[in-house]
Amino acid sequence: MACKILIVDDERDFLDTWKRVVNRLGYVCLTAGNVASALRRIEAERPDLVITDLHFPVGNGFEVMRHVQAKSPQTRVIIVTAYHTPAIQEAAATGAVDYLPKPFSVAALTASIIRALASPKPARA
Amino acid sequence: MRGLNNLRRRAKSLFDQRRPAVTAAEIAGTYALIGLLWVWLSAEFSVALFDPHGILEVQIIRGVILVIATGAAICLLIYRYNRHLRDVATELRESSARADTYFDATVEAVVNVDANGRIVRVNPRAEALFGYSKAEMVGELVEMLIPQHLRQRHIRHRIEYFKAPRSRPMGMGMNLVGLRKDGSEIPVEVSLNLLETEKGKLVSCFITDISERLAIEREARMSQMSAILGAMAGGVVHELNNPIGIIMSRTELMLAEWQDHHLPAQLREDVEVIHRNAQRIGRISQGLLGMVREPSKEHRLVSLNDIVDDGVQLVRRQFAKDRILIETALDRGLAPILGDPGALEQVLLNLLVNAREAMPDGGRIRIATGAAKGRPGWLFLSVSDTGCGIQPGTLPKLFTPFFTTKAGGTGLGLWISRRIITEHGGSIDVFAESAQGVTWVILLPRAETEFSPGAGLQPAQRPGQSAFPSALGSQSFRRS
Repeated sequence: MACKILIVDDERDFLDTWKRVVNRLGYVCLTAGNVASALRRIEAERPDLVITDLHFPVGNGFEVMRHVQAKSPQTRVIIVTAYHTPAIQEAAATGAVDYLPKPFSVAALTASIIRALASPKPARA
Repeated sequence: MRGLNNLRRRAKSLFDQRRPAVTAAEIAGTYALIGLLWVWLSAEFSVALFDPHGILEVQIIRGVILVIATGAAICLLIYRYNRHLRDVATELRESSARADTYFDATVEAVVNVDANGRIVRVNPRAEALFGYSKAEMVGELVEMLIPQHLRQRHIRHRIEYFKAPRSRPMGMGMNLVGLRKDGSEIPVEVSLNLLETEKGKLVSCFITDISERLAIEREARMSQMSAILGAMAGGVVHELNNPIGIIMSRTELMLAEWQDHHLPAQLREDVEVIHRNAQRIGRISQGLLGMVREPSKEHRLVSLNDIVDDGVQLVRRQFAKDRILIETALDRGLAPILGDPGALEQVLLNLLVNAREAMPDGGRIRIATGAAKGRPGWLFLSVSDTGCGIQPGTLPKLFTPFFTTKAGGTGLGLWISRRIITEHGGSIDVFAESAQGVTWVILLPRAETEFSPGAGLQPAQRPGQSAFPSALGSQSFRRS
């Protein structure tokens, strides 16, 4: 069965772009435009990988990350952010398998997705 | 300068107010005394007094007494006059010695120039400022102390000045520049003081080196600018990165799916140009992020040598491909500093990348660490290259944000590097005196060695407080 990847971002164009990239890789792509819908989809779909932005009008990507750790520990998380600081990078390292500061290239995200899916699944909490 | 004028005024008043050598009362008194003697010793009186018959003896005695009395009076007056002359001479000597002391000891450089523009006198401070000895300067035209391109103008100004000389500041509102013996230029402030001497009119030029003051002003302007830019950049970057990311990835997708769409070649080139420039905006945006990077509060004991070792390790292979050899001369006994190793490595990499770009045909980079000479408690890290050097005109702009000489450069690397070093209480300077290559020198204060690592880190971890005081206040981190 093809891997399921959930992309969480409040920017429509961003979601559409990365959905195309993920589909080209042959994976199933799910999208969520806000944190609340992301949390619902994680519980319902148990994706193999969640790629989430950090900044949202309501909530943030760390909530998504913690929700994954609590409800779907087998899911890996990649954090992407337009507001890169070492502190955020450190925080991301506590629960995400990768961290990508925006803007990044298709090649960079593709490599990151492949690496994440190949990494050992996180141990059950 | 004011002191010397006071001294001059005091010397003048000394002459004006001094009592005359022999007062009118003294002359009148002496005259009255000798007159009385004449009366007393008049023929009739003395004949009656001494010997009515011995007229001759009386005349002789009277003559002798008169000669002696007049002689004594003259001697007294001469004695008083001489004493007066001696006093005046002593006072003159003293006041001239005071003036000399002042001339020599004043903190400003003083150069006295005559109406022909020749230097007649300089003080030791002037020798130190310009690097010439007194013998080299005296007798020469004052224009020797002025950069070549300003000399003609200065000669005209000088001739004008001596037509109606007066004491005043020189070149109001102009940036005055002095020329040292070694060819370097120094920003100066000059005030002109007119001296009337028996050799004619002289102008005493008081010259102050203001490079330090200008540096402080520049520093203040820079930090103000960086605060504004930082605040602005923080807001802009977040908003910018999303759309850039989308443009970049969409164009990448277009290029990847090119074959499927059968699009004309010209269009492909257009998309490539769009993509290249989106990448460029991305780089600028990443640079802006460095600008809003919060100063790390997690300063810890780090060794400059470790930072060099790690940094060199990262780039050595790539640099070798570009025929660039990295040499290190590290003082292995170096004391640690308190700092953020990640940020310091960023600075080093920045300098290394710049050096590589200055040597497109390969070359040598030398990295050295050690204790700073002449600054106890300070350590240095230097990076020298054998590249194309720096144009003299670009030197002052090197640390200005967005200033770049590289196509596609963001102009933020050095600016951020300096910011990081300043946050560490240190300084970064560039030496590009030779046409070949430049040397960057970073100075950082050594960590207090008697601190246990835990205690040493305490102040750095206090929230809201920078781990290092400003560069000026960093003495507290030094051991005396």
